[in-house]
Order: sequence, then structure tokens, then C-alpha cells
Amino acid sequence: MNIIDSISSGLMPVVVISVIAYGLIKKVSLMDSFTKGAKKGLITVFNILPALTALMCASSVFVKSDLSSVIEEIISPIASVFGFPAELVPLLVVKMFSSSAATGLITEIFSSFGPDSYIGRTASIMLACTETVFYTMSVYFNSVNVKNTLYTLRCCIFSILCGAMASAFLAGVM
Amino acid sequence: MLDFIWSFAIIAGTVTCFITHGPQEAAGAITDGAASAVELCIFMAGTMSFWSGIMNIAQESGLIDNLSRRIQPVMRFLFPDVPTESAAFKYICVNMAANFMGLGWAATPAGLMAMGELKKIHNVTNTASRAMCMLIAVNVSSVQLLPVNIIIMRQKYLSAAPFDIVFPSIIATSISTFAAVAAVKMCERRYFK
Repeated sequence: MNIIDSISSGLMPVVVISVIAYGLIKKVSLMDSFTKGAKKGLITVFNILPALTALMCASSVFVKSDLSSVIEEIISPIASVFGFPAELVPLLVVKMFSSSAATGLITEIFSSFGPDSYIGRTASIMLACTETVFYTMSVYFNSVNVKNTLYTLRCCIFSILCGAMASAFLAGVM
Repeated sequence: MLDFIWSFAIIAGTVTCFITHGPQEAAGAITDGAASAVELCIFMAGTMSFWSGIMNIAQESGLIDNLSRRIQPVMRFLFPDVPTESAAFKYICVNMAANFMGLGWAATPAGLMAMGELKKIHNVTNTASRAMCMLIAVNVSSVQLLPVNIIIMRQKYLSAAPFDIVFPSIIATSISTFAAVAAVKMCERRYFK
């Protein structure tokens, strides 16, 4: 457990130090490069704000109305067959369409269950291990005008489900 | 589709909230959501801009290019019908390396360039080529080393150990990527004999 913890929290500082050291060796103008990138990061964050506002309003009112718990009750018998918490089924579905929508939803999950609960950890790992399938597919295939995508969607959804089940399992053992 | 989910959540949520909790609560829930979206963005802005700055150094110092050369053997296995010296192959490697480091803005352009090149070398018209399907499946299964935005959100919601999930995430993302590659390789056998 301790080793996993130290790998987990040590990775970010190690990456930061290695990148800066590599930049020093290659004689990059560090401050200049850093500030350029930091600006891009800021723009990225505030670019998602309008979408995030739309989606967080929706998820906030939806959770408040208790409708989400009705849906969970319907889904939970199916989800429990796969050992997957029913509370996270909406998150799994939403993540296939939009990253900012998933961000909006995970804040609801964190505030009701806590980020360190089993549900909170499963949600974190799940969001980290998959990308938005419908968005990615439409951007990539539309860019080359491909209409027949063969088996891509099937394979992507299969990999997302594998990732989701792995997340539920890993959150249980860590 | 997202339009449908969104409008359903707003309409059904507001109506039910109105009936069960009254009009004040319904209006309150909507404005609460808007306020916390702005709050979250401001909270994220600090760490995200720091991380983007670091990653820009990684890009300008050539670390990403270096990494993309190192992953060539793996890419040769994934894309056997893409010539190693082609521009498509180079873009694929950059796309994967950038994804691995969490550089979304560098990964997507490289990925789209790769799609364009693949279209040329495989004479694609309407139907996806085998390499295109693999490229997208691997992109969707995500090969990210550090899920920075999730770590930030865990910090925002006062997690006792926000970094806890890094190692399990690497395992989970390896599993989903492995599943994607295996599934695509199996389908390839059926569609491209």
C-alpha cells in the first residue's frame, strides 16, 4: 500500500523536475516557454466554462430533484451483475459524450459521497482511464470525410466498459 | 444526443424539484450549479496553467519528439500497414506521445494530421482504413500518465489523498488500452483478410 501511495504522489513532482532538467540541458528559455504554455492552459480552462455552466446547472437541478436516485434504482440490478456501482452509471454514459459534462457530474458525486469514498475513487479512476468516444470519433472521422467507421465504435465501447470495471475493482482493493 | 440529455435533465429536474421542494429550491439549484461552475474553473486555473507551462517546456525542449521516437517499436506493431518513414507514422507517434503526457492541444492536431496522411496513403474514400480505426480506439482508451484535472477536482473537494488514484489509474488505463487493441486486432482479422 505504501509503495502504491509513494508512486502515486511522487509521479507528478518527478515529471516536473525531469521536464525542467531536460529543458535546462537542451538550453530552452524556460520562463518564456513556461509562460506561453501557462497561457494556453488558462485559455483552455476558461474555454470550457460556458459548457461547464450549462452542464453543472443541469446536473445540480437533476440531483436536487431526486430523479437521479429513481434512475439509479432502475439501473442498479443490471450494474450490480458486473460489480459496478449504479451511482456511477450516469457518469459513465455522460463521459462518452462530453468531458466537461463528466466534470460537472463528478463534482456532484464528490460532494455527495466524498472523493475518498469507494464511489469517489471509482469515479476518479474511471474518468482518468477513458476518453469521450462520440466526440473523438466525430472529430477524427469528419476531418477526413469518412462515413463508414466499421468496427471502431464497438471496440471503443468495449474498451470503456473494461476500463470502468477495472476502475471499480481497483478502487476496491487500493 | 447531448442536447437531448441536457434538456431532459433541466426540464425534468426543474419540474420535479418544483413539485417536491417548491419554486425557491428549484431556482436555487440552477443558480447553485452556475456558481459552482465558475468556482471550479477558478480553482482549476492555477494548477492547469502550471501544468500546461511545464508541458510546453517538454514540447519546446524536444522531450515529446524524443518520446515519440522511443515508442516507434510499439507503433510498428499497432500499425503494421503504415510505412515507418511516412509522415503519417511520425504524426501517429507524436499523437501518442502527447496523449501520454496529457498534452491535449498537441495530441489532437497531430492526430488529425495523421488521419489526413492515412487517407492519402491508403486511398480512403468513404470507409475507414484499418490504421484509422486503431488510431481512434487507442486515443479513446486514453494512455495518459497523470490525470491532472481529476487530481485538481479531488483537491477541490478536500480529498485526504488527492494523488491516491494515480497508480490505479495507470493500471486501469493500461487495461482499457489493452482491451481496445485486442478488440481492434480481432475485428481486423474479420474485415481485412
